[in-house]
Amino acid sequence: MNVDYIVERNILCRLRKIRKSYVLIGVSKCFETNDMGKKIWDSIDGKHTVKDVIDKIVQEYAVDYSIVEKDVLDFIEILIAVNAVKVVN
Amino acid sequence: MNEVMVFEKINRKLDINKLIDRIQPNSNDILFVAGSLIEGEMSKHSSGMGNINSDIDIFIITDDMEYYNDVVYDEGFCKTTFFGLDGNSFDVEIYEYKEVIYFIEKLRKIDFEDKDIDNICTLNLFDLNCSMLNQYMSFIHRIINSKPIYNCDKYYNIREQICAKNYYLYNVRYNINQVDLYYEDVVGYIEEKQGILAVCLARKLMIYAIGAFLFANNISFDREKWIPLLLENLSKENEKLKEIFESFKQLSFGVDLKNNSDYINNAKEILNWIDCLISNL
Repeated sequence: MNVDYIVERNILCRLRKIRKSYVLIGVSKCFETNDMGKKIWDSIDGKHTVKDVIDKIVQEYAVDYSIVEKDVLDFIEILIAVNAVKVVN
Repeated sequence: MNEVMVFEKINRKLDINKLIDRIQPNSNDILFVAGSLIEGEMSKHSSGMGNINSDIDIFIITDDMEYYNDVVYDEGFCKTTFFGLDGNSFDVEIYEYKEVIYFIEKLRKIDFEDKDIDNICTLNLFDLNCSMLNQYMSFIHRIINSKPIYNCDKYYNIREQICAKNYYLYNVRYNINQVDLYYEDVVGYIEEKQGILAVCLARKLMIYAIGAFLFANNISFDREKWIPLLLENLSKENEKLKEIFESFKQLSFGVDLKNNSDYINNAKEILNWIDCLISNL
């Protein structure tokens, strides 16, 4: 996984808020995620690179780039493993 | 209470006493008027509703359903009839008092924080069939957006018993359920490259998604036809809402769909848009 990749959501997957938690549904299992996971999920559009996603979050939350980079890359790797997103470039 | 109700938009008047004389209710019955003309004047969010062809809806809540026998439809829990008076057309719906109270009580008792209801289909939260449930929900919408004309104190007493929070929560959940019910069908059409079907169904889901969004913002409706108007009115309140309305318009009318690939892309974009809109609700 590197930051130049562009990832696209599996259109079967969608995020729903169930009693104050975010739950990713549409793949074989449901996955609960947090606010950061939701932010990353919302930023994945099949057009922007992973770096764009990181930059957007860094800008919005004013946090250290390296921390966000690790969070985003880790989360996207999980999403790829569960077939919720795929790399398109 | 004014004895004459004026609908400025269509330059029409409604003589309340004449209307009550025409209906001849029991002394204990509750009467209120509702419908797009009333609603359009009651709330800035509903501005623009109702036109020269709109009927006025009259609701009667009674202890004695048998009293109203001269009706067009009798569905048991609700009777419906129609008449005209002084150039106005009226739709009349008659409900039984104890059934209305039972439904309101049932709605109040739903605990949306209870984990056990997560696996219960929204429609099954009530022990009513789908058609009755939809009609009672519509009734709740109407009573929220109505004006009493007979036994007003009793009318306000019923209104106070409605748990608005649960009414909105239920309808958010119902509309999201409708999205999820057809979501995979849209995906199936996309995968099968059936572009027109995918777009048509995706647009229908977009309306449900906006419906959920409206209820989440405490905006009520009981007919899908008003959803775009309500969103447009709401969009005048802030930039974020305006952005949602503009993106809805763009996806619906701002795209030039020339071939199947365009249809497929539009359907995919709509699904993403829906996901972003309702994942926050």
